[in-house]
Amino acid sequence: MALAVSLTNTGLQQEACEALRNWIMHNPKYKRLAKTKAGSPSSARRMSHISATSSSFLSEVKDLYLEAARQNPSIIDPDLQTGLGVLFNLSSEFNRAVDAFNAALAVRPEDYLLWNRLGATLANGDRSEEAVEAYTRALDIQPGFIRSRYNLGISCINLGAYREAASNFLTALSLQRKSRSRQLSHQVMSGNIWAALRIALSMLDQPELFQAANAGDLDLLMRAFNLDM
Amino acid sequence: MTNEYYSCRVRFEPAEGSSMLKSFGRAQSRPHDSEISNGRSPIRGHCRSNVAQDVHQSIARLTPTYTTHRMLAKMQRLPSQRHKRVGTLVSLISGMHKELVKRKQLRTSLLHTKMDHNMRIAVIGAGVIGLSSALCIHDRYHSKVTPLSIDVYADRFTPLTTSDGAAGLWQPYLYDNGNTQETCGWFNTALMIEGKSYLPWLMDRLTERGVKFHQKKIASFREVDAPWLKHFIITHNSKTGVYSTPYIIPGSRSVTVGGIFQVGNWSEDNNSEDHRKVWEEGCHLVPSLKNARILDDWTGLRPVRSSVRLDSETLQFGDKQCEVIHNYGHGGYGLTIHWGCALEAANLFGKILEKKKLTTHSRL
Repeated sequence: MALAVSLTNTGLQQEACEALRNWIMHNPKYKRLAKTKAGSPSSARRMSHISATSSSFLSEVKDLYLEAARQNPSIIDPDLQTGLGVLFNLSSEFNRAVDAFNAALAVRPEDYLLWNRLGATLANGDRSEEAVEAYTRALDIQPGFIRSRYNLGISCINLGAYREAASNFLTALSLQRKSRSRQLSHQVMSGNIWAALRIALSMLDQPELFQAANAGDLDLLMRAFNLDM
Repeated sequence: MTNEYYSCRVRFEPAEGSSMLKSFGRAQSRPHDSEISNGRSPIRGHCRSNVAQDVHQSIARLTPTYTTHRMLAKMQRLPSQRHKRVGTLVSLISGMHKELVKRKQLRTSLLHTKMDHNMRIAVIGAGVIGLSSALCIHDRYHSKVTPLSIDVYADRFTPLTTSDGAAGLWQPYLYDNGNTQETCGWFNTALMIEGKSYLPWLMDRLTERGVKFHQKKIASFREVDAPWLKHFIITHNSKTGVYSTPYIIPGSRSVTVGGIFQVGNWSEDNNSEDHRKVWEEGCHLVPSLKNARILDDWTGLRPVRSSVRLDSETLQFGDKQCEVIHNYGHGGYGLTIHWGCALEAANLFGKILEKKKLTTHSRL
């Protein structure tokens, strides 16, 4: 599931769908369902690899998940709902994705990952104010959650709150620096945060701050925003 | 004439010697023009360091690309030999385009990945500003944003636009909230961007790239056939403002004699009084003009603003949003600064793209 989410974030739709399909096919609860739906599994898999366009593959996997959800209508499986939420994100059906994540959150209200996913879905679906609320919930539960802070910054930009956006990006960068992580995924994330920060600063019409961002001068920027930590 | 005025001598081809200077010197003799009648170049006399500084600043203000600063800085450091300056300025200008484009591409390198959103751009106005902005944006972004469709809307296309009518002398001047000051005498040769040749070229480039055009809205001057005129002559009157006293600018096929600059006059009809004034003053300046055959009259508008507006704005129409990039108010110097403005418009477009890219990229 986590793999599917990462693949979605990096825009690899086909691979994300495959990961989601694999999840459901190997899941003890739904394995049987997946097998019967697909008919003879090996030929179906071959077919989907060769001929299916990405959109028909996507709806195939979506139908699988929807069927699985219909199987037990009274019990909500948060992981299944997460999978559905991711699929609806891929197909840009953001409102349905919101419903899926809300259902998952009803079962696991302290899951900050879910709150972030809800927020991101809302943001991508142009509901930035609600997205901010969702991110705030996630950060209340897990203040060091960098991805959510980054997302919050993006929603601030969408809402025109450029100072707040910059402030959030700087907090995220500062947290990253403190963790001293050398992981590649964190380096990539760092690059994304700097890029987003530059965009926010460019909207503030303060060229010296923009220059500082270009130079990577985090300390100067932290002082400029009164964020000395 | 009793008014004081500066005389500017600018030449399109490299200096051929002082014989041409002498012929100009004979036409008139004024206190300021003593250098001309001596047959020496008037340019050196007028080129004071504080004038160069003003020009430096005015170009910085009008052409929002700092490479122009460097061009001027290079010029100031050049030895005061006339010929060297001529050659270098011409090659600096031709190199300028490439430099500017290169620098802008380096700076706007945040956009890494292709965006698969349908981006529709409408350009309003098909004069030099509209067409050059369209070309610049298409040039830089058509490979990064697919599909990128550009539609140009205008009530007039070449050869009916103001840009076509403009003589197109490339000469920046200081325009500071209504006070205009000609900064002149600082270069020996000048470029001319002839609107009526340039615009069709721009239209061809845009058509090649699939841009669509749709038709859907002052300087008074005359086109003359006077092929013996080889020099640009501009006069300035600091009291009545720019381009209100005679100028004579040879083009590729005919010579333009002008002009007027009447703030608040919205009429585009040829006015016989203005016509007479322009012609008489032109002939006074260059008597041989009397023998020229008048080809055409033209009157146009110079839409001007206290300063050029070049920024972006989000407009709301009901539940829809639209990003607008403004690029207007160039008055009498549109051809001069159009390319810098077009590049800046493309930069603004890039910023909008980045914002849009972010808006659909929150991470689950």
